[in-house]
Amino acid sequence: MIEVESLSKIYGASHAVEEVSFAVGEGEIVGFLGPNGAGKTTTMRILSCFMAPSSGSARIAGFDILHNSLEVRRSIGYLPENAPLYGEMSVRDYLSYVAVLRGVPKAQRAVRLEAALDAGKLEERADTLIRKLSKGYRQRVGIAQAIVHDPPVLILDEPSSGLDPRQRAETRHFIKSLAPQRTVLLSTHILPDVQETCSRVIVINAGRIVAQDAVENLAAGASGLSLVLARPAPDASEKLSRVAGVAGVRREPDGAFSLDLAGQNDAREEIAQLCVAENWGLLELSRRRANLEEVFLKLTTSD
Amino acid sequence: MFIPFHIAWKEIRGYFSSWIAYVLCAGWLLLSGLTFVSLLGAAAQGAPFSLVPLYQNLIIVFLFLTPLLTMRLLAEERATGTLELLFTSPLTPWQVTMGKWLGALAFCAVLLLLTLYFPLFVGQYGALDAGPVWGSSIALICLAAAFCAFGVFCSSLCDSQIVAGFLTFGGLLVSWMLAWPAATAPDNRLAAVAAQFSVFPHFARMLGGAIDTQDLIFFASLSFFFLFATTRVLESRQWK
Repeated sequence: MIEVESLSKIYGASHAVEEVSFAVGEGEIVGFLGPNGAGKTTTMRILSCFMAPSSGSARIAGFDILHNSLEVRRSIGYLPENAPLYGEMSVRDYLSYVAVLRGVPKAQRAVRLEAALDAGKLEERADTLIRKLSKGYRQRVGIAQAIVHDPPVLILDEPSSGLDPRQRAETRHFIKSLAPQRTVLLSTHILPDVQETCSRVIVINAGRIVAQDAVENLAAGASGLSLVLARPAPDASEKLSRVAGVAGVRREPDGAFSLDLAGQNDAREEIAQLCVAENWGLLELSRRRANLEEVFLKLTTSD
Repeated sequence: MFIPFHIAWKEIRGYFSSWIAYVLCAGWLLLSGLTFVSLLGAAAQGAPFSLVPLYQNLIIVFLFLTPLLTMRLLAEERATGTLELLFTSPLTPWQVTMGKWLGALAFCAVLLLLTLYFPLFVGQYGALDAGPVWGSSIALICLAAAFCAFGVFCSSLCDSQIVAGFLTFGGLLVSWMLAWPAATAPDNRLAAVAAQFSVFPHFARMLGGAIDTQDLIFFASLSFFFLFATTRVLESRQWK
């Protein structure tokens, strides 16, 4: 549904986005992850036809963002970083205004309006002026306007910003309910959101894609072992690092050893044998699954 | 619904849901009413009565009123980020520009309707010469169209409503003053050229009821030029 090919955006001398390529299949929910200023918003603005790329191309629902911009915009629902709201309008007026702009036929307008109000859980506030709403409600109006024309593709820039934990859980639930009828690309830096809603993650840092994979695979790739010894010798770290498949050894403050594994190797058996042979007193040896946060930090920290 | 009308309708509702519409209507009625009363006073002294000076004065009111009407149209959308809503919807820059302009122009039409009571009043109590009334109405609408187009253009240039308002006011003032050198130095060619670019001589000719195509074309091309420029400014955002 979304195909991006070596997209770049250059501001003066700096690259906001550099040679970004990825694809999102129909019915997928893909998380777009990266620190602030990594190029998430720029990429999303390009995909939603608000900006043109400096080079590269992208197709959404089969339409080119430069040559069939109107069709692209008809197929997407876009929530910008700051929900684009008119404070002087009521929620209902605002949503019906947006519905006309997005080309919803008159006959379907009432139905779509109710569906959008329902999706944002906004029924009780439908006649409140938007400027009187709290940040959480405004964000929900922002989500409601993105789906008011029932688009097949949704591009959501930080949909859960400004929401409290309960609202965030509701938003996650809502986004999950959008698939598989719709394709969703959402950016966030709230990692639990990604872990719970997305089937796949694209990690972007300093304008470049640094990883894209299923959430489990990303976490598995950075997994390691945790080892606790009763009588570690001073040269234990060095000997451990020589075991085949071990990429690195760290001594944690609590005395335990952290072992990074190269690739998907499982060196547990060799390590156990070594510990017995050296008589270090093996107390504990376990697999440590990295969470997404560690992966994220690892991928986006340049050293 | 035709999209520009939809946007224009939203703008008109926006005017009336804030104080701006009521303040402008009140100011408009006060200033035009005062002029009308002074005209009646002059007529009571025996001067020949005509509504033309009244409409002539309204150009100055429009000079102050247009910036207030147009300054927020696009500048506010830029500042609050709602421009992103408009341009990620399937809309062309022309639809957005026309919508904004029609909204402001429709408000000016409302103001003109409010002054209908002058000719009605005159017709009730005396002999009304309908020609200048028609001419003046058409002239004022043409003037409002060009002024609003310029205001929409200024509003598309910046994020700040205040700056947009001052730009509009400054530009309109200059366009009015361009006619002055020709009035004091009738033989100067440069002054004559400058006067051609001023709205005032075109406006003044139409006021008398002589609707000339060259004046209509002047206002139409002026409006078109600034609306076109606005669409270009809006499009340029893509390449920044």
